[in-house]
Amino acid sequence: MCDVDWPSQGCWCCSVCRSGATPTSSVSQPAFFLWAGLACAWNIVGGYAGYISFGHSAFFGIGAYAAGILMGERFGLPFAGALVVGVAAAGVVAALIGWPTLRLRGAYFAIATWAFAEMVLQLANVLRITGGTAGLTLPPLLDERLFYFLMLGGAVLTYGLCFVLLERSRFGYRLKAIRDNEIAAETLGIDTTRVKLQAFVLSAGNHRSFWRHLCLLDHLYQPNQRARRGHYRPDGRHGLARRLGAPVGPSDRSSKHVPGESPVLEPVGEYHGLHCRAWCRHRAGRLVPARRPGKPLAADTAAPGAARSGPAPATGTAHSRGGAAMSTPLLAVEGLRKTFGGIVAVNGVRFQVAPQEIVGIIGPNGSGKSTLFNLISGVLRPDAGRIIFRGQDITGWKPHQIARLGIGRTFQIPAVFTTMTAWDNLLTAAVEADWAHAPQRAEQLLALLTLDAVRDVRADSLSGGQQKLLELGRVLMRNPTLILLDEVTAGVHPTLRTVMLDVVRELRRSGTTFLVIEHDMELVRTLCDRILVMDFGEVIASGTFAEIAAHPDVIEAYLGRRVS
Amino acid sequence: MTLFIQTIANGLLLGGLYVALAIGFALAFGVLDVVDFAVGQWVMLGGFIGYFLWKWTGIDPFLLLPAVFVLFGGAGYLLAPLIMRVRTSRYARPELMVLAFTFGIALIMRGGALTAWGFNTRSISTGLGGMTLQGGGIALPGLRVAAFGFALAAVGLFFLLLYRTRFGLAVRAVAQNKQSARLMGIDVERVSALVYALYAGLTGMVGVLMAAIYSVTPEVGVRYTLFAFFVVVLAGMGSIAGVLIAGFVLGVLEALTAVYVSGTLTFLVVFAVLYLSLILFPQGLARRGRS
Amino acid sequence: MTGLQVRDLVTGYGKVEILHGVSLDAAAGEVTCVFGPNGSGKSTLIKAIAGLNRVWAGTVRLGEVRLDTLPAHHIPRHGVCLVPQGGGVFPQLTVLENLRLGGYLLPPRVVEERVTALLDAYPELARRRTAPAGKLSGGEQMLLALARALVAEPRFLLLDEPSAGLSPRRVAETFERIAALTARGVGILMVEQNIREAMRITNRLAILVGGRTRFTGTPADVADERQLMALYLGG
Repeated sequence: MCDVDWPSQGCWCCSVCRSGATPTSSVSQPAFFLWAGLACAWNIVGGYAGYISFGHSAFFGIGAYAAGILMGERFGLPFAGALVVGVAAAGVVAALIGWPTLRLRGAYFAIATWAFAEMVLQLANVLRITGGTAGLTLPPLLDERLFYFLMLGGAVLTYGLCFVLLERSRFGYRLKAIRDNEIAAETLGIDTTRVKLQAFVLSAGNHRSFWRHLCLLDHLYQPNQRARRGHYRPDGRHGLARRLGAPVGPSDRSSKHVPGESPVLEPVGEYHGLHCRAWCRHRAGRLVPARRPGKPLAADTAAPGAARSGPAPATGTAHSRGGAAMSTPLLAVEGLRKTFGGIVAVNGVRFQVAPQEIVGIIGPNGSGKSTLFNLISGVLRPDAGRIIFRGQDITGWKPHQIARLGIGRTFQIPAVFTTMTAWDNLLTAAVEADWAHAPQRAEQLLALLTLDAVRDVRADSLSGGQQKLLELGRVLMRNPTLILLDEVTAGVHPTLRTVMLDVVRELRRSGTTFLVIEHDMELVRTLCDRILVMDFGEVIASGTFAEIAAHPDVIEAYLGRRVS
Repeated sequence: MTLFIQTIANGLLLGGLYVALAIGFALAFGVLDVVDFAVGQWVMLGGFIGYFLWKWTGIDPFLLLPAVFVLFGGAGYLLAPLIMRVRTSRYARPELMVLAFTFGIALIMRGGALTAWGFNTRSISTGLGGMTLQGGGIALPGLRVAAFGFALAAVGLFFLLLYRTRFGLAVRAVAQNKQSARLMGIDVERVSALVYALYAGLTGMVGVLMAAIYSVTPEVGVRYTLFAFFVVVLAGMGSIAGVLIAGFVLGVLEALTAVYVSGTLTFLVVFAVLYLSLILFPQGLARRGRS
Repeated sequence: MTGLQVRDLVTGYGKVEILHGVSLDAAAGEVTCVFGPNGSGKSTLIKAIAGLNRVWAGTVRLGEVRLDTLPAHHIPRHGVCLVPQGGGVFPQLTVLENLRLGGYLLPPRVVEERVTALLDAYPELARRRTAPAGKLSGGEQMLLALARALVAEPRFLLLDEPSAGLSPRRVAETFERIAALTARGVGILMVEQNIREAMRITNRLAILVGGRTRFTGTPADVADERQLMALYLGG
C-alpha cells in the first residue's frame, strides 16, 4: 500500500534537481548535503528512538573543533588522522553525557541536551584554543568541484547507510519500539538503556563528521555557525523516522538561498524552511511509502554486542519444555508486597503455579491484579517478598532480563507499537530472540490470529480487539514458557475470542503455562484449571470455579460487605 | 564589601524581572502542560515591538507597557489553540511534538526578527535613564529600580488574579484536575487559551523593560529562554512560591558571576548549573500532580 | 418531573468498545442504581452520560434535552452533575474554594448563600473549611464532593461508586445522605460495587454485565443473592 505524499516528494525532487544539478560556486549547495546528513544522524536518536535532542550541534562542534585544532599549527596532524580523532572525540563525549542525560524523559531530556549544547557553544566562544568568537581558520583542502561531488557522494552514502542501518535492521526495530512504548519494549527483552546509549553515541560520532569537516574546510570554524547548524537539526525531522523525509527540510532551505549567502539571508532560508516544515509536519508519516513487508536483514549490522539470548527457537516443540516434575512449581511467589504512597496495592501475596497450568486471577477493581503482573514481569520492584521462576530468584530483576528468561505478558491497555504496522510489531518482538526465523513465525501468527488482512495497517488504526490480538501475537513470537495475559479478551469479538482460547489451549498442550487476569466469568470457568481471587491486594480464595463461587469471602468481595 | 552588597542589590533588582518572566511560564506549563521553548523569543519580540512603538510614538516605554500587554496577549490567545492541538494530537509522543513545535516557533520568531530587523542592537531610552538612587554607599540605577517596581506590581497583580478572582480559581482548578474542572462547567480550552495569553502578555512586557535596561537583538531570545528554564527547574515545575525564590537566585548568581568571575562566562555558569540540576534533581521537575 | 433516559448507548475507550447498546431510565425523586462486576462498563456508562466520554451511538436525554451531543462543561447547565469516583476534589484548593467551584455557573451572591447553607448542613466540612482538600480523609473528600455537587442544586445527581474506599461506617452514612436528597425531588443515578448496602436505598436497579444490561427492575424483583451471583458470574 503506497502512502506517498506526492507534493512533498515533488518538492524534494525539485529542490535536489535545482540545487544539485550544477555544481556552482554557491556555498549553500554542499551545505545542503551536510545538513541532510546531519539530520539523518540526528534522526537516529530523535526520530527513531523518540528522544528529541536539541544538543547534537554540540557533538558536531566537538568533532569539528577537535579535528580542526589537530590540523592547525600546533599539532599539524594530517586530515585522516584528525578526522579519526575528531569522530572519536565526539563519540566519547556523547557516551559520557548520554549516560546521565538519557535517564531523563521527554521534555527534560530535550532541555538538558539543549543546555549542554549551549554550554559547549559558550565554551567555544571563550576558550583560546578554539579561537574564541573569531573561530579557527584553515587553508582549503580541496578543489571546489571535487568538494562538491564528494559531498554529494557522502550524502547518498549516508542515506544508504541510514536506510540499511535503521529501517530494516534489528537496531532500527529496537529504537522504534523504545519510541512507541518503552515499557512494552522492555518486556520483550530489549535492554532499553543500552540501546538508547548506542543510538546517542552513534548519532554523535558517526562518519558524518568526515563530511562535516570537509564542508567546513573552506569556512571558518565559528561557534555561531555551529550553533546554527544545531538549530537546523530539528528541522530535519519530517515525519519521525522516515528516512527520506530527513532531507526535505534542508533542501527547502537551500532552494531559497541566493548564491554567496549573506548572513542575513541564511535566516531567510531558515524561516522558509521552518514554514515548509510546519506544513510538512501535518503530513508526518506520509512522506514515504509505508513499509512493505520484506525480509529483515539476517545479519545484524549495527548493534555491536547484542546478546543472542532468549528462549527456545520458534519451531520448538512440546517436549523440549515442561520436563520439570509437577512437584517443582514453575513460578512461586512468596510474601509479595508493594505500596504506592500510603496505599498497599499488593499485600503479602503467596501462590504457586505448576508447569502447563492455566491459572485465572479474578477480583474487583483495585484488588491488585495488574500490580501483581507488573511485579512478576519486573516493571515494578516489590517492597518485600520473592519471586522464583524455574528455581531462580528473579526478585528485583529488570524487565528485559525477566523477559529473556522466558516470561511474556500483555497489558491491560493494549501496548502495541503505535506507529508500526502489525507485521512490524510482530517482527520487533523477535528482535531479542530468533531473528532469522522471525518472518516465518510472524506469517504463522498472523494467519493464526486472523490478522493477515491488516498486516500493513498501522497498529493504532486497528480496532481494540485487533490490538489485543496483536499483543497476544507479539508475546507468542518469543515463545515464552510463562505467559501473563491481562484482560486479553476485553473488547474482543466473540468469534475472535474463541480463536484466542483455542490458541491458549493449544499452547498449553505444547508446554506453555498461563496466568490469566479476566473479568469474563464464562471464559474463566471454561479455560482455567484453577482460580485465585484477589481483593484489597490479597489472595482471598483459591480453587476450582465451583469452589470459589460458593466461597463467602468471594461473594462478599463481589456483592459488598454487610454493615449491620 | 560595598562591592559585594552592590552586586547583590543589582542581582536582586534584576531577579525581580526574572520572577515576572518565569511566573507566567510556570503557570502556562501547569495549566497547558506545555514546555514553551519560545519563551525567550516572546521577550525578544517584546523588546523589538516596544522599541518600534517608542520610536514611532515617542511615548515613554513604561507607558507603552499596557499596549504591549494587550498586543501580545492577543497573539498568545490566537496561538494557544494550535499548541493545544499539537499537544492532543495523534503523533508518537505528543508531549515531545509540542516541544518541537514550540522550538520551531522560537526559530521562526528569531529568524523572522533577523530577517526583518537585522543584527543591529536596539535600545530604548526612558525618562528614568539618567537617575540614580544613592544610599548606604551603593548606587542603584533609577531605571532598574523602576523596572523592579514594575515587576513587583505585575507579580502582585498576577497573584491577585490567581487567588482572589473567580477566573483565577478556575485556572487553579484546571491546573489541578482538568476532568473535575469540566464537571464544574469550566470551559477548559478557553481558560487555557486565556492563561497562555496572560503569559504572552506578561513576557512581552518584560521584553520591553529588558530592551530599556540592556538592549535587544534577535539573538537575545536564547538567553531568556535559558533564564526561564533555570528558574522553573530550580523552583520545581508547578511551585509558584519556588519561582519567587529561584528568580532572585538567578539574578544574584548572574550578578556575582559577572563581577567576580567574568562577564563572558555568565551564560556558561548558568547553563552549567541548569544542566547539573536537571541531572541531579530530576524530581524537582515532576512534583506537580496533574489530572 | 423529567427523567433521565438512556437509549442504546454505545461507547468505549480508544478503539475498544465497552458498552454495546445500554438502555435505562432514571426518574426524578428516585434512586436508580446500576450494579455489575468489574469490566462491565459501569464507570464508562456514567462518564458517558456526564459527557466525559464521547458517545459513539445512542442517545441520552433529560426530558426533551439531548445531553449526548454536549461537551462536558455544558451539561451542568442543564442540572446534571457528576460526582466522579473518589470525589475528584481539587487537592490544593481549600474546602471553601472547592465548594465555590461547585457554583461556578451561578452568580456569586447565590453561591455564597448556598455554600453557607451547605456548611451548616455538614458541620464536618465547616470545621475544615480552610484546609486544602487533599489533606482530608477519603470519607471527608467524598462528603466534600457531594456537597460541591449540591451547590448547583442539580436536578439529577450522578454518582460513580460513592462507597469506594470508604470505611463501612462511612458507607452507611453516605448512602443515607444520598437517599435523603430524593426528598427534595433530586433524581439519583448511581453506579455501585457494594450491592448489599446500596440495595437498602435503591428504588430501581439495573445490572450491567459485559457492557450489556442483564436485568432491570426493583429490589423486590431480585429473588435472592444467588440470583445476583449467577448473573455476575454467569456472564
